[in-house]
Amino acid sequence: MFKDLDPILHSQLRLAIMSLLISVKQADFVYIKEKTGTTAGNLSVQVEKLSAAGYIEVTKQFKGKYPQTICKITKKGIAAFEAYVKAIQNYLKP
Amino acid sequence: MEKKFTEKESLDLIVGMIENAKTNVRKGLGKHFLLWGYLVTFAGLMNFIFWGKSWAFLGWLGMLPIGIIGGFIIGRRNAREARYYTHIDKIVGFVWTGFSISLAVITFAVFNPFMLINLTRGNLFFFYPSMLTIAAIALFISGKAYQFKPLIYGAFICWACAVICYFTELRYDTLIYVIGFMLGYIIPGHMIMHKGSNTNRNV
Repeated sequence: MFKDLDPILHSQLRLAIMSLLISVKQADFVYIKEKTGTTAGNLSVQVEKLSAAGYIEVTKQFKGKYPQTICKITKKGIAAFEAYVKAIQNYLKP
Repeated sequence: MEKKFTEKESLDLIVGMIENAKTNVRKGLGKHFLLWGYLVTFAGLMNFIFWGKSWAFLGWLGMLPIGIIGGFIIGRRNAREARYYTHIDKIVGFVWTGFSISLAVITFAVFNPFMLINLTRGNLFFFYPSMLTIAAIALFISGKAYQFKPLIYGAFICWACAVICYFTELRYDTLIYVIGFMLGYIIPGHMIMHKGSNTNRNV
């Protein structure tokens, strides 16, 4: 079961991050943390994995005096997400 | 270790997150409405009160640089403070940029300082209805995009005011124009600021 599903996306938190980023053009780390309800440490690890896979683009900048991490989905990420949704739909077909 | 989940849970998670990220109006948009709403109200009232004096129209010209520079500053600040930025935000931003350019072009064409002396009922006759119609389009698109009804009602009020302008005396057109902007911009603008404050607390 699920052997065709992308292992990078088939994780609750990573899928939640990708679903969020597919809806918004870009979001900062704190917003994603609040929406996914996870810890900063866990989120940081999963963001790093998605970034390493080329699914998201991470930019670090300053918002006033404070650092801000912006995450944005890439074209490769959108394609992977669409393929993942299609694969799930196939599984759910009666 | 990562928790295993079924295909149904997977799909539910996607739907839930997308639902969770639905775009809401934010305070930043409200600031643009209040800026233009109050500027137009000031310029319109100045025009109405000092009707007949050639400088009464200067309020419209003064409104342009303040609105454009103010709008640019608000836009920059919103972009810096935004925690997320959606595709809808981007498109609505383009709509309002288009609105601002149209407003500047029409206002300058009608109240061109070099032509003040030749200001006739002809060019003024179309000014107020045109401006209200363009404003209504921008309001309608924003209201539909953000699913915020006061903006949609505001658009219909501006369209109604545009029609009324064709049947009233030119002097009272300015007053109807101000009423259109008060109901279409200032009231929804304050509602967005209020809603935005509550949303920010809950994000």
